[in-house]
Amino acid sequence: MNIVALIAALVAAPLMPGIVNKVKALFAGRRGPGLFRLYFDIAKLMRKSCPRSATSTWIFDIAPAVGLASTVVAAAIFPWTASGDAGLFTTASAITFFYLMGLGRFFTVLGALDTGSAFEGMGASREAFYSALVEPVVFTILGFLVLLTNTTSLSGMLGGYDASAWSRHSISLIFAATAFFVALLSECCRVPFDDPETHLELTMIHEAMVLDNSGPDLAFIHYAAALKFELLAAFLVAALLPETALGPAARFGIVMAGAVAVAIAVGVVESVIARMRFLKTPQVITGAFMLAALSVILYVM
Amino acid sequence: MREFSEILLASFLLTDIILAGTGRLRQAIRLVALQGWAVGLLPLVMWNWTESGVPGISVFAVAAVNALIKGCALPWLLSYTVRKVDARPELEPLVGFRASRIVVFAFAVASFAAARPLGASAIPGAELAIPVALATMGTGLFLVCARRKAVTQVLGFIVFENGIAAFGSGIMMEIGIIVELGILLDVFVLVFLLGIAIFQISRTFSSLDTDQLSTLGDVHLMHIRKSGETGGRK
Repeated sequence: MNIVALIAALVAAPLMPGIVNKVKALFAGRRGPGLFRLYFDIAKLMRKSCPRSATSTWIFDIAPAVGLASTVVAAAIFPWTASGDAGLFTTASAITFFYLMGLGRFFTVLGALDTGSAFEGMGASREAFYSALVEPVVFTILGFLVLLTNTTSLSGMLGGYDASAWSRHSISLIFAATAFFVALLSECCRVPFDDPETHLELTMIHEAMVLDNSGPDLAFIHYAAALKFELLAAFLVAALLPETALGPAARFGIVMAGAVAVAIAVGVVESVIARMRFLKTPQVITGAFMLAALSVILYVM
Repeated sequence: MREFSEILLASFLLTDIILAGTGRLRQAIRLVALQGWAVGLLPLVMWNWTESGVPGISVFAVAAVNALIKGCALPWLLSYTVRKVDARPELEPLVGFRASRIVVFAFAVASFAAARPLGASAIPGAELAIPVALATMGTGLFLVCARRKAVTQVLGFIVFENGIAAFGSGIMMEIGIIVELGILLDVFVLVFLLGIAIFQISRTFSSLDTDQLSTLGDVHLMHIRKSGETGGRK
């Protein structure tokens, strides 16, 4: 069952940016690009050739593939269908899950530096800066989930508590969820941290790093970014979902519906607020960290 | 009602932290107004409805008075003063916004640690009230010290009073109401006086920066300073 769910999740991943863009277009009164735009883009890119600079080394060649592979592995260890270990390929700790995505990011950064382009170096520096800021937020939230469920395994942590926890620790859960949402916005380079629509090198983070990639390499990067968005959204939903008597299919449905809801929320956020000045954004992440820490404190007290 | 009181008390913590990091006078006044409404609602959600039945008229009265004075009257008075004296919309911090936020957060953590030995309070479900009240008082005092503008110092004072009120509804529901009304009256008079003082300061000195008051010399020097500051800051 989990493998079917995994394949469905992998197929559905490029829908997520489509949903965000559609919501933004609806807010702006436009029709906007279709929901399946990214599928067509990826198909188009896969048919193109992939020129590589003579000055770049093998790191630039493998970076997009490593990014894609690590994200897909992270998707494979994610408990899509159950809140226990049932039907998983392997049980992994939550730290593995987040550091797999970190590995993908590390290679994207290295690949960007490898080109020697000034813009890409700047984008790489920003990406590393933001991930360093977000990491304490994510790990404080993980600490809270460990306290709540008494396990460090990813499958046990997600939904490893019964529904009564929602009435006992509602504030902590709400704080942790809000903090994770902010972390998701930063990790996926969305407004207010980065504007995915801009194509001005001075303001870009993620886009600036991949200026030299083309063809299948660029398709890999786009797909990995969409999958990462879906994974983090699914993590947020699954962490909020208590242990239920639902079947695997129902649970998968709820997680995916929740991921779509998160994508819609991201679209709404992007429509109502503007991108922040670069120097202001760390304050937002500090705020998210405080929320996460408060959720732990409120839980312990 | 336990969840409601927890959400309300958590909103105190949130407004404290946001208030410490906000750089806009208008926004700060709005946040204080929001906290005023939370203070007003607090006695109602802290009341043990299932066991004690419908509370007496005095509980409703204190809720209404608190919400009206702290949620409407004082914020209105402050924004009126700000408009009247034409104050600049930015706050002028002595401690930066990010540092302030961290300080307030540290207050929150410390007050949770400090409230622990006090144990469970008289009212069940109010375990959060004491640390939140302490954190809010600390935030208020900190804002009084760390902001330069007279208006912000008033804001800090109101936040401090909100903390006292939360403490009151947390641990002394019965007798707290009389004490609370007395304090409220004091605060109202005080904010009124401070409003007048701010107005006078701005009329005389063309600036609300209270730091400049400490460098006052004799009249002659003051005139030189004033003429040097043509079109100066307000």
